[in-house]
Amino acid sequence: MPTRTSALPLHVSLWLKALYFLPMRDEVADEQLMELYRDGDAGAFDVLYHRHKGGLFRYLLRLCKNQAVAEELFQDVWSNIIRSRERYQPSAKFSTFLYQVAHNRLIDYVRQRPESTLSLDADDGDCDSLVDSIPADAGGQPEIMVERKRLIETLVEQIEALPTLQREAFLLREETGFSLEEIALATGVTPETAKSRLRYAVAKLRDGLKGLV
Amino acid sequence: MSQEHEFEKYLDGKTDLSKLYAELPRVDLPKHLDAAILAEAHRAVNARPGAKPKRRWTIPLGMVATLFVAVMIGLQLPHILKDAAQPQQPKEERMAALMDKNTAEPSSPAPIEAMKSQLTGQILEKSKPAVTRGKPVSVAAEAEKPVQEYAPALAAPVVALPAPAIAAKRLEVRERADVDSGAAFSKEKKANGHVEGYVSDAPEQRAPAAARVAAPHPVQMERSLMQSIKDEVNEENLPPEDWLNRIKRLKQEGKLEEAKKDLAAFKKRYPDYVLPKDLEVR
Repeated sequence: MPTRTSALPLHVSLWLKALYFLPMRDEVADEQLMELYRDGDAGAFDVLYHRHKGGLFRYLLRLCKNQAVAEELFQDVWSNIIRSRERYQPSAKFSTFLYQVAHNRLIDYVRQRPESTLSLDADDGDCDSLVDSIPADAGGQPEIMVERKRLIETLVEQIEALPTLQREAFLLREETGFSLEEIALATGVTPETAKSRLRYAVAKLRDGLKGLV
Repeated sequence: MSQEHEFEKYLDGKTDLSKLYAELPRVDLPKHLDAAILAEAHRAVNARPGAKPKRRWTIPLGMVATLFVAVMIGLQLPHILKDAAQPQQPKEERMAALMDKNTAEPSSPAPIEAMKSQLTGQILEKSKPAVTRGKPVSVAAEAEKPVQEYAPALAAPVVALPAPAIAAKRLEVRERADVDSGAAFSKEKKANGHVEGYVSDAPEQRAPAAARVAAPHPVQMERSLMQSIKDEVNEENLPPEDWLNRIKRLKQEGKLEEAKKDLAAFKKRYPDYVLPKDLEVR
């Protein structure tokens, strides 16, 4: 990767960098894209956003179980990323940084609105339904399709039945492929705590899906 | 133990739980949210031109500087107008006088001598600001110029003498110094061919001690020469009213001879000037 040299003006350096990464932007690491964006390349943000928007939105939606709240939090998280671009240092993975911001925003939201259905207690049992959002599959054999839909509905119910912090650990694992250390980093706990939360979440889901998976 | 084993398998991605989760319906993000966030991101980048922090103090500073300059000009304007309104000779008159001076022989030393002896200190005092206020004029350099080139220089406060006048003045002062000192020093110098060399350490060229004590120092002679030139220059530049006042003052002090000479010089300088009646010197 070309680095900015003091001999070149900033805008020349930026253009050279952008030209260098243009043909292979989809393969560029998140951290490099964020650095490009920090240096003024708006196109780098577009790639970064499209890469992470789905996972982040599902994470927020399945955590707070409310579309409007999820959208509000989603926009807040990205605004925060945009504002903090000047301070960004690629010391950790960008995705860890992103979900760390999301986690903190969620905590703030829960603290600001005590009447929210979200709870940060370890053993809460809130259960609004997202099952209705699961569409019926259009193709395949009807019996198999029905069976598969029932399985997915059960999984969604089980996920929603998980305590928030266990659910968060499970969603981070599934949506981003985070390791235990990364989950710990994003949620601000020790790796042992993260492992414990994830293990409980997996065990509960397996119990709920017993005989189906 | 089996739970731990199952968890290890899950972490290794060998269970169906992750596959089943991947089959969950994709949730679509509202388009307006995409547009809003991307617009915000682009706006944030474009808001910093050249990736440099915006200097918010430049405009107020520029305004303050402009105001300061305007106030300073406003304060100086009355002085400038006052200077401009001071009585000056008509341009044609000055031009004619200057042409006369440059074309004629060097002016006679008599009135200059008379005025010089009496008014050196007074005129110098008055002339100082005039000389410093105007553009510095090198007398010798100006003397080398052709007559036509003097026209643009009329606005300058100092009127230059032509080169022959300077040379004559220089010779006159030097001769006078020779007469005063018994001419020991100067004659010896001239005899040795050192007309311009004032100082020499060679023992054979030294003047006798008595003569050296009596004779004015060469540097003093040069200063005197320059002083006389300066005086002459400043007399020429003296406004007619000031000049007449000076003549009146001489008359009141009883220095009638000097006043007469001064008046003659004035008449020569300003031949068309109508003199007040009380200025007639008998």
